[in-house]
Amino acid sequence: MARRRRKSSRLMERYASDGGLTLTSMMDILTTLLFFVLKSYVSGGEVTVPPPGVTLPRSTAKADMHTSVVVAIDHDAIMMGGERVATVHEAVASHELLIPSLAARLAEARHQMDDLDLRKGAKRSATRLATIQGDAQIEFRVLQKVMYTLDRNGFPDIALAVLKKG
Amino acid sequence: MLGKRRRQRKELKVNTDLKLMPLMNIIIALIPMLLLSAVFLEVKVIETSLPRDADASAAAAQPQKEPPLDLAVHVRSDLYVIDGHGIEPLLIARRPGAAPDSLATGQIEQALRAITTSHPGTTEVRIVAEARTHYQEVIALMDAARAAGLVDAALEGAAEEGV
Repeated sequence: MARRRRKSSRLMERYASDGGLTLTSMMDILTTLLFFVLKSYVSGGEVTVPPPGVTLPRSTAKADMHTSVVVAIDHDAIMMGGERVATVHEAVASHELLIPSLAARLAEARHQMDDLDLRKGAKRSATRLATIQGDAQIEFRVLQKVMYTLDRNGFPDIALAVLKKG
Repeated sequence: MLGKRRRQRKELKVNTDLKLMPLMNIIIALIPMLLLSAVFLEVKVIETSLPRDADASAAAAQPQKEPPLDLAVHVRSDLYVIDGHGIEPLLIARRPGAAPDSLATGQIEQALRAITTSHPGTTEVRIVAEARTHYQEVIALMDAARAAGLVDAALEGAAEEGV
């Protein structure tokens, strides 16, 4: 009995700790996580998040996004600057390629940009860049009308936003 | 006297363990902040522009020895048609849906690559889509064209649709 007690006390002595937390393994996890997050962080170019309800098509394109006027198209609406400017139903129902309400907003944006350039003393640009954030499931006729409206309102350079594949 | 010195020496003993708690606090605060603001989906763009009237008239005014290739990929209800001047129209089966299947895309890419090999310097292609063609399908066709070396893809609506 006494021998057993001695053995048990010897074992307790061997495995006894000072009561402090063992932080090394947690530090390893956190450091790995920190590097992963920093690596996947977008540090260059224009960072953009498509509006809710818009699932961008997937593509192998590699070009980065630039600062521009953004027109988003989902199943119901055509939006500019997060604001609904026209409905897809209206755009499809019209026999014209031009979408009047979008054209008015684009003209306004174009005027503001020109005004800003004038104040900065920069040369007035003849063409402007616009980005279309269209849902992957929208019909081509909607995209075509939006592209035509952009072109007619001083935005002939169009960038189609996509999600990088793979 | 000796006992006092011994006591002082005992008191001066320094704890050499690293103090990780402040570092832990910083990392724990930093990780949620980065996770919340990080954008994991990489948004890229396909740059395109619509043809100008000025470009068309300039091209028409320029005397050309042979007619331009005018390469086009037409999206029809059940097939893709690749045609151009001096090219035998090539038909590829199409499964209607949101995106062309990898087999069709592969075939289109292969056919376009063969054309670009036989016509070096060709970088332009028209993608003629139907009114109801899905945007994803148009993008997939642009990807196939780009992979074949046709970097200038123009979008066009099929005439019969009246759009």
